[in-house]
Amino acid sequence: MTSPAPFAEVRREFVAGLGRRIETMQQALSQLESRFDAEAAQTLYRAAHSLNGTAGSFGVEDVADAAGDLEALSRGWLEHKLLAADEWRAATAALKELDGAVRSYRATAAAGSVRSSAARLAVVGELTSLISAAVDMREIFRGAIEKVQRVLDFRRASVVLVDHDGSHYYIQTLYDRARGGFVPGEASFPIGQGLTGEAIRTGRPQLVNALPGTEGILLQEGRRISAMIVPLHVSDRVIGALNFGHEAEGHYTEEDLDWAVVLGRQIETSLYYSTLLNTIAQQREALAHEHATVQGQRNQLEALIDASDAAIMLVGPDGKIAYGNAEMARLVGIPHEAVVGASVETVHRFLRGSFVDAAALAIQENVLLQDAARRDRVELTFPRRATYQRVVAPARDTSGELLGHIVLYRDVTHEVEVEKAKTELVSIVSHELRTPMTSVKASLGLLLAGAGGTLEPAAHELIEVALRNADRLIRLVNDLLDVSRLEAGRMEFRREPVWLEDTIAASLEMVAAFAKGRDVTLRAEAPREPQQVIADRDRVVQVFVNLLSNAIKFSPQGGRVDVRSWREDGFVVTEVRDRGRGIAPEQLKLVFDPFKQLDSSTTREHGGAGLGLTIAQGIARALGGELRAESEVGKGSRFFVKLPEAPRG
Amino acid sequence: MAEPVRALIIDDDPDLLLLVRRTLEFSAGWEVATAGSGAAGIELARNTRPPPQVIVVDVMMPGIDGYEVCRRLKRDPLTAGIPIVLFTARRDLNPRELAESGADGVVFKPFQPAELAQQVLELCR
Repeated sequence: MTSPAPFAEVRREFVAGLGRRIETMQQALSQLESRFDAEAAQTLYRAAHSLNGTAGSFGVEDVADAAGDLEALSRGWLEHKLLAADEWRAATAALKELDGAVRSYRATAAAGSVRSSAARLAVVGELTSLISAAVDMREIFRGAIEKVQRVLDFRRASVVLVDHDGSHYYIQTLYDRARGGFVPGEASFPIGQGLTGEAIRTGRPQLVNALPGTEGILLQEGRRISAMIVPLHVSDRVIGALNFGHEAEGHYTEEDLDWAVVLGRQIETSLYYSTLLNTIAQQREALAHEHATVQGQRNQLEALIDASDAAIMLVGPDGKIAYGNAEMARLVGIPHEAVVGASVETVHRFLRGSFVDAAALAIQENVLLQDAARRDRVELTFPRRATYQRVVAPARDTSGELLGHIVLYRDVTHEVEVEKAKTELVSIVSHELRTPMTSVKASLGLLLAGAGGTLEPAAHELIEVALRNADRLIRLVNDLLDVSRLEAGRMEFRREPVWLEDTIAASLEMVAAFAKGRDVTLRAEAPREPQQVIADRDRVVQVFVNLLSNAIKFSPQGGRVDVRSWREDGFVVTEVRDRGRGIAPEQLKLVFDPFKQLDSSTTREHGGAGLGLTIAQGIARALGGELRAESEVGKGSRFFVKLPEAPRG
Repeated sequence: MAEPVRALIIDDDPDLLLLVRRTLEFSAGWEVATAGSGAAGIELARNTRPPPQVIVVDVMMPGIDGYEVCRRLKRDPLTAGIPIVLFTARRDLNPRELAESGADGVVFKPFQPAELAQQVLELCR
């Protein structure tokens, strides 16, 4: 079996002989300048014909073209045995062109071990430009191998890449000259196998000039071959390798390896940019998607806010309006487009004139500088006189970062009017009820006293029922009146120093009979020193009577109710404690709620309208104090009345 | 003259209990027993011999309420056959709760004394 003449040697000879061929042609052409010479024409024709053929087979088109021109001219001369002067000049020009093409080719072509640095630099430069043109990996590898051919001699070149888990490498691009160029190759090898595996594992370039050839390696069974392997890195990681193989033993030099490494670096760079560009492209796509999603949500949110009948704006941390809806623009009295981006000072300047109470705007300005929310009601005169529910609250993103403040105004004029009407209705109805009830009560009382004559026992019993229930109704009406007065803030109080001990004693006296009837002991602990509060004595007694009645009602037979008081931070606290069944936590929240107890069956069992605690709390608050409760199911309840202490003089 | 109707009235308000009893005794000549709580009412319904022919029970009572009284009596074979009428001041009774209780009818407060007996009998039919 004969192996084909190594391609590189043929090419090396070809390149080496080019100079001599040009010289031969120049001599022959100069002999033809003055007259036709058959021998010289024959020499020129043969040289041009030969060069045309070989240059063509090496793919050096411009050399082949110029040689072809010379070949055609000289053949004509041989056929006609004469030559014209202009034909000679054309031949001279063609030869000059040929000489230039040959020099150019010699400058870039590789010839044996003397590979031109200029050509290699040129290829490096071309690889650099490949980087900016190609983004696809395969395109980069193919382009690189095609260009490297010109400066490095190989039978086979390949790019292998490490797979995703790092256990194998596979052939990504394979060029085999003997098989006519790029061939499909998908073979995969364990990372521990072969020289390529070693280069990838160690990250070091490999040069071998006597590798035993196998079926798998260049199909050179039984011969020794040459190979260079350059690992390819991207971001400190070996991602694959660049392989060159040659059939001849001892073909590659250390210089060749250096060049291969330089080429490898270029490919790495382009790979790096390729991955980078891919990553950037992916990120851009992801960002665009995210942006679209966020924009969509934002649009929905803005549509929602715009559709709201409340005036809403977001004041950014920079003091500019980041968002404001049309309703807010109307409230401020500026065009909607002018709201966003306006400074909060500008908006406030426009709003200032609308406030009935100028202090309300100052509150808003203050809250915007703080981290706390505020809800209140304000009166505005523009765009119409109305009561607004105002909310100023800090807005935060999911990480807790302050985005600014939400400012919201909702017109609650109608709600306020309805509330007022309800309170007035209750007040009027209660007053109207009291008059007929008084007549009913008085008449029944007279009947029982015998004003209508002596009553049969059965009649007496029925009139007693009527009188008891008339009293119950009057108490209920009075309670309703108190609740509606407290709600409207129309309950009148005298505020004067009141001795607490005296008030407690009066209250205990009022419930003494009730307690006795239920067999409940009342015990008041005398304070260490006299305590005085600023309050309305009768109303304080009302509070205590309410609390004591409740405590007695819910005490077991033979139980005890304790009352004690103490001073605390400018207040005097009075505790009323029972040892009854207690109140469950969810019920405890409701005990001060009006009408919550009204429906409850416990009220009838214990004989009351269920408004007592609501009224007691309303009075305590109106007097600048508080009423709160603690309770434990099965152990009893404790109510604490807190009232402002009178100045001690 | 027909036998007087034997009725049981259950209500936690003693005044109302008295008025209903007097009304039924005076206007219709019924024989009326009374109970001041759901538990006492159930006890009485089970143990009275002969048993009541009709039971009137207040809906809103502490402890065992009117619905529960109804449910328990209707579950007990001893009392399941006795018609039960609910007595309430509320116009907004929960229809589902009412149906589930098994009550035979509802009389709303305030009632017309002269019509009460007739009304209860009509609901029991």
